[in-house]
Amino acid sequence: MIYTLDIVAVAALILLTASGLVVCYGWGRLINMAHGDLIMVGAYCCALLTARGWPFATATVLSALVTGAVLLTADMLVFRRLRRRDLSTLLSSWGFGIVLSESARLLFGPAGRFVDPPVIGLLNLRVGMLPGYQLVLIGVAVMLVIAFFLVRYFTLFGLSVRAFVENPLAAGSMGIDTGRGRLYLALVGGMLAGLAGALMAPIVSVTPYLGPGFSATAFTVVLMSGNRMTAMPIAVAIFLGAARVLTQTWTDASTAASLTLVVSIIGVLCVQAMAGPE
Amino acid sequence: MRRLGLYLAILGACVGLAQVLPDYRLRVLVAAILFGLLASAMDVPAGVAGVPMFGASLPFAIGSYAVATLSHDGSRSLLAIGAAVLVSGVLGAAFSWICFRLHLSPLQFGLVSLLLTLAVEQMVSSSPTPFGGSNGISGIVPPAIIRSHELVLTLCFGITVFFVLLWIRDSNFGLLMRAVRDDEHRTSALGYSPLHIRVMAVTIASVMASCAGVMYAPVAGIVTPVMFGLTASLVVSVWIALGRSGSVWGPAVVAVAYKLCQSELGSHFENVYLLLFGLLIFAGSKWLLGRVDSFGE
Repeated sequence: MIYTLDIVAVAALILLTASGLVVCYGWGRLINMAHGDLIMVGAYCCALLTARGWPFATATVLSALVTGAVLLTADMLVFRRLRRRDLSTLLSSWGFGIVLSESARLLFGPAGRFVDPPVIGLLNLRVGMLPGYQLVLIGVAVMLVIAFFLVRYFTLFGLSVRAFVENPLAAGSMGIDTGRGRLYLALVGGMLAGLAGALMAPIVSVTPYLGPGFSATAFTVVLMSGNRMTAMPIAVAIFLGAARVLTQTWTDASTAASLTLVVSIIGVLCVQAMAGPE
Repeated sequence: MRRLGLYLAILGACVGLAQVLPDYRLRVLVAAILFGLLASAMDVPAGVAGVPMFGASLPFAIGSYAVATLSHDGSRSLLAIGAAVLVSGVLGAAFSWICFRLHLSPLQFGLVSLLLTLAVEQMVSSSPTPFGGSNGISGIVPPAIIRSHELVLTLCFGITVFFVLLWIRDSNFGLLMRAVRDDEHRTSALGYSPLHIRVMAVTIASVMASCAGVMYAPVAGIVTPVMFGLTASLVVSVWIALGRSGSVWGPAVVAVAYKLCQSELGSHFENVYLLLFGLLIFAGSKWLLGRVDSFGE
């Protein structure tokens, strides 16, 4: 199909956006309403660093680290004291998101910034044309997926995370340090959000209000993944990518956006029905 | 009987206030009270029935938009009211019925309702033709019959709907809702259907909230897609949490206080107001929720 390449590219974008939330909520059951705003933080870091002449790759890594630190601080200061599955993390992280976007607006103004992509030009692959930068994004997404799988099932850390999320009491009595594990999850989740933000910076206009849009996509992916957090997000990202690409090809942009959201809601309902309440 | 006396006293106080206050301040007060009505309406499913509705602004915004599109100059207002109530009620009923029939937990329903309101926000803000697009619709005028007294009448009608909600809370159905919230299985074993009770709670809230929205449009004069948005929806949950959830009147008081503060302080601290609000929610949510039961988890 001629759209395959576009779908894969959009799916990669969606997967990158959602990856941080998959770690926070999917693995760690931390409802992070500020995920989109963390992506915004990553995008701003990248924009500021590249504006000062830093190379894109370094800027990306630094943005990821900074964003991870930001979420870690918030977690240590506030989220840590709240029960994870409660309404309080939802509200508190929403407040955190507002703090982030308002701070960005006060510091940098509401106007958008732009970042030049490190790879320019179209590549002519046998199946179609693809902007070179999107190939980079697909590559990163693939590496991320492989890393997720390896860490979750083949490392001690992944095993500990699965253990203490499923049964904190038993895990604690086995000697797994629940507190530190949660901090690591927050750090990784934040870093992935920052990474996504930095990678997105060349393709969006970086404003303080990037947050909610990305949050909505990420939450759709996570909610549609039911309780299986490694393979499902990939399938969901491809599904949503296909929805977006196909609706945009056949209808205009605004109808496409609405249709995609409707499809997402139906998808979430179906999957949640099959997965059942936790 | 005591409640009736209270109702009449408050009505009298409002009418009196309406004579005394300058038009601008009265308008702000009426708008605040309509948001209080929204908070009360949403407390019925969230606090009394244990079904959090994170997409709380949806029926309110539907009501306002119905008036804005169908009754922009004040004519055909009955059509607008009917459409608003019908659309909100059917949407609330159908959506909650589908979700609970699929055995979603109340929290999951809440999150999905948030997604629903975001979807509608998207649709509305990208449709310039009937809905005014992202700029919304302005210049909404109340119906001609009530035009010179519309603020007082809105105030009185709003207070009336509020007391209706209190009556619902204290009725047998209110008891059933609390039963479902506290112990779904026991209620079901007694022969009641938690599904039907929850759907009814959500429908009542949607209908009442859309009434509030219908009244809000002529008072504010303008509707925008932001009314459907994330902030407008989640702030209702904050009001419910701060006021005693389940009391129906607590969230109303908090909502009115919030809206009045917003208009007073907003003009003084306009630049940092939202930042301060965010900080409060971020740092204080444990305290905010500390006095409140969890939402039926």
